[in-house]
Amino acid sequence: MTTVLIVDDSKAARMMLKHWIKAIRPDYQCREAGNADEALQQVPNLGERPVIILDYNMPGRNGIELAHELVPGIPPDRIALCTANIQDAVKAKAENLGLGYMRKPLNPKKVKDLFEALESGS
Amino acid sequence: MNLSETQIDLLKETFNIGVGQAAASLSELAGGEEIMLSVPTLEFKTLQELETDIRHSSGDQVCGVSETFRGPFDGTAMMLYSEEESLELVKIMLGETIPVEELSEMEGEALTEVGNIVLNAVISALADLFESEIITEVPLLHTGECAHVLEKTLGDGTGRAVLHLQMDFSLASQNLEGHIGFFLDVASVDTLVAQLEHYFRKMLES
Repeated sequence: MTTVLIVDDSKAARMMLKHWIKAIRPDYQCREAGNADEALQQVPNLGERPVIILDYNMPGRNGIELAHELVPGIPPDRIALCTANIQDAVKAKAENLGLGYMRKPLNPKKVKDLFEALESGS
Repeated sequence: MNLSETQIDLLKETFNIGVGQAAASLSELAGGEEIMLSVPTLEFKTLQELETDIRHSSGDQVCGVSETFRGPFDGTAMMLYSEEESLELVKIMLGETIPVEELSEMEGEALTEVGNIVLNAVISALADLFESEIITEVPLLHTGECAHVLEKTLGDGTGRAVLHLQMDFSLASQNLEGHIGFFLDVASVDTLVAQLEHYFRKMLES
């Protein structure tokens, strides 16, 4: 079973994302973390080829800083940055690391497209 | 006024989405410089408390560009920096297009325009999210003593409390920072929270 780890400091954002993932991938298991440290604690228990979705703007370390700690343990093509911060500089950082990118506000279509893109590489 | 943890979370996350999108406009104005954003804070404050906080973060002399808005909820949005920082910001925005001696002349106009673009970007993002229209008034620039700027922006309100949502921004390569704030009267907070909860429920049904 594939596990998806949702890392976002907003509980509401995590709830919405989890709801949409469950709708399109009912067999996936979702886990949540509210910051980078909580995420890193969960990483060893995510099983084979997990998917990790990272919010960018979080208290403590941001999503890109966390991605640097996750790669190469987790392949970058299984990680997506999810942010309303659409600056070219932020997008470039995600692209340089080889991460997926999803622009907030999210909706079911964006989530579906992201999972299709993540899985087309696997 | 008491807000639940979920309501506070929704308010902060929504503001974060609005300012996040506006950061792209600010970055573009700064010639592609990366804009760093803090996480949002949310507090109910009296205007006196607000003044103390602003003095603490930006000093006695400040510069603020504000826009009032109305729509599904009403309030005032403001971009605020210390007076020295405002001239720095104008230098970065206008770069070498304007001779130094004309810079201070252009300062007011340039700051108002920056405020207008950034605040409208935040407000538009919120309007899109709620699928409704938010009407903004023209941007107003006020400089000088912190108390004066606040009174001009938010009106006289001894003891009046506002909901203050704030995010700080800074330019990655320069020693420059400012604040983007939303001020909502308590009466308007209920409407905003109701809109947010409606949005949240609708999203979960989709």
